[in-house]
Amino acid sequence: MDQIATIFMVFGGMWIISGIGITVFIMYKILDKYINYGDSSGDIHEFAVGDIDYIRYIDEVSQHERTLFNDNFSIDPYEDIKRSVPEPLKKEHEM
Amino acid sequence: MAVICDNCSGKLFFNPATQKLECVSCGSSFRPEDVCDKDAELHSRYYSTRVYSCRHCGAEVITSDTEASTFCVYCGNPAIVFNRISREYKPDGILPFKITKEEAVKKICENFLNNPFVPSEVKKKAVPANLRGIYIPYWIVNADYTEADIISGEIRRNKRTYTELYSRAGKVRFKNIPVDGSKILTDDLSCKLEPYFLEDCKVFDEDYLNGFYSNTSDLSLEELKSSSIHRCHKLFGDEVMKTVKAANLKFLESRSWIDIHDDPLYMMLPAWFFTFIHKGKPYTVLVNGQTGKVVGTMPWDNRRVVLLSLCILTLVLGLTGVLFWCVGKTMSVNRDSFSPFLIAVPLLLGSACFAKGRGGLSRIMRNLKLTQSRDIFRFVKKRQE
Repeated sequence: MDQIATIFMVFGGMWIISGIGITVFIMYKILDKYINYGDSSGDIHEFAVGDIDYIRYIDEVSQHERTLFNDNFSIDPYEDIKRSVPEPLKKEHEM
Repeated sequence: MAVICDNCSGKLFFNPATQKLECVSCGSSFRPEDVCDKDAELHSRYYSTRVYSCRHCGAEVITSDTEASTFCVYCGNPAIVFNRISREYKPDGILPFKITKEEAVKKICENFLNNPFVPSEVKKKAVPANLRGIYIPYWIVNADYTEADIISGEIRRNKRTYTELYSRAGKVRFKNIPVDGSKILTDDLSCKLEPYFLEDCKVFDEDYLNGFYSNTSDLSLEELKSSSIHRCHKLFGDEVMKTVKAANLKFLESRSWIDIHDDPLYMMLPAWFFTFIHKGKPYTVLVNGQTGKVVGTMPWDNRRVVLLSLCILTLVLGLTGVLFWCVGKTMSVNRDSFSPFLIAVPLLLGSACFAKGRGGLSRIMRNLKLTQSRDIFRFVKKRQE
């Protein structure tokens, strides 16, 4: 008898959990359709010239590699490039 | 510069439907490029505008000489005062409005009609009088971008969940990225207005501004870099995440650098602002002035949402209840038929639905906060600090 009660309790719990989960999901879908407009932004391929040129691509990073990450990527690679500043972007003291 | 009709000296306004300047008095119409500027030399780099300030949110609204502002296009508050006449630097180009005010109202109403969740008092506010056309300043940027990331993700191995770290670094060249040049609009909101098709851009002529508001870029180079990095990181980050085969991905560390090429283009891009106040909170819904895309999150009728949730919950519990009852009863009669699979499947399904639904609802709430202009104001303050 106890076993039957346990089975029904387990199934009752699962019933409530799945019911709430499915309801939350359905409500999200409904509100997203009726309330939330234009929720999208661009993809990299709309603006990128070619694909990403990977210089580091490591899965399962070790602690040592994480330390190397900090050493390798601490300097701005573009810091030596000098560019002209368009007039509307100049602050008053620069004009 | 006030533009007047050659025939009757009446004021000229730009009509997006005909793409011409039209006289409100005699009905004559002119192509903007045919209306001559008698002080062309003087106006070659600058143009005159009227600047209004909103006492409520602090935004500055700029109109052409012929238009007077009656309320703030950002927060809908009427506490707006004339501030000064300003000479603004001429943008390189302008994308003229293609969607008329009536079409923009129609686009918004398409979403309202038969929508049971939008309160009826909000539906009544979608009228042309509550819409303002505004040219948003954008920088069209070409740039080289480098980003290095450490990403954490969860993988399942031997029925256990492990957290793994992934490292990705790379560089990419971006072309024609639109970056919002106004501090009052958040980048997250303005990038949702995209896409803008820049093939239709014209050389800037202030005649296109007649009948509309405009805003000018108030960014410094450093602020443009910061906004561009924010925009590029979103594009780069989304792409990099696709290369990691794991769940619950998060950026643990992210570093990015940008080199904006010389001569970014300063452009004016069109948007309609539908502003209204509901239950004391301001809302701003935007419509792309070229494509008609509607962006924003509407307030909802709480009572109806709660009622619908309860109905769905009852229905779902009813259907799944019958299913569980049958399975439970079968198992209580025939104990050999017990399988952990029967427990795992509904549990996993329920949890996955809950996680997805909760994430989606949080995103909607974040969007709602973006739509409420007081938050936009707070974002602006944050960026100004």
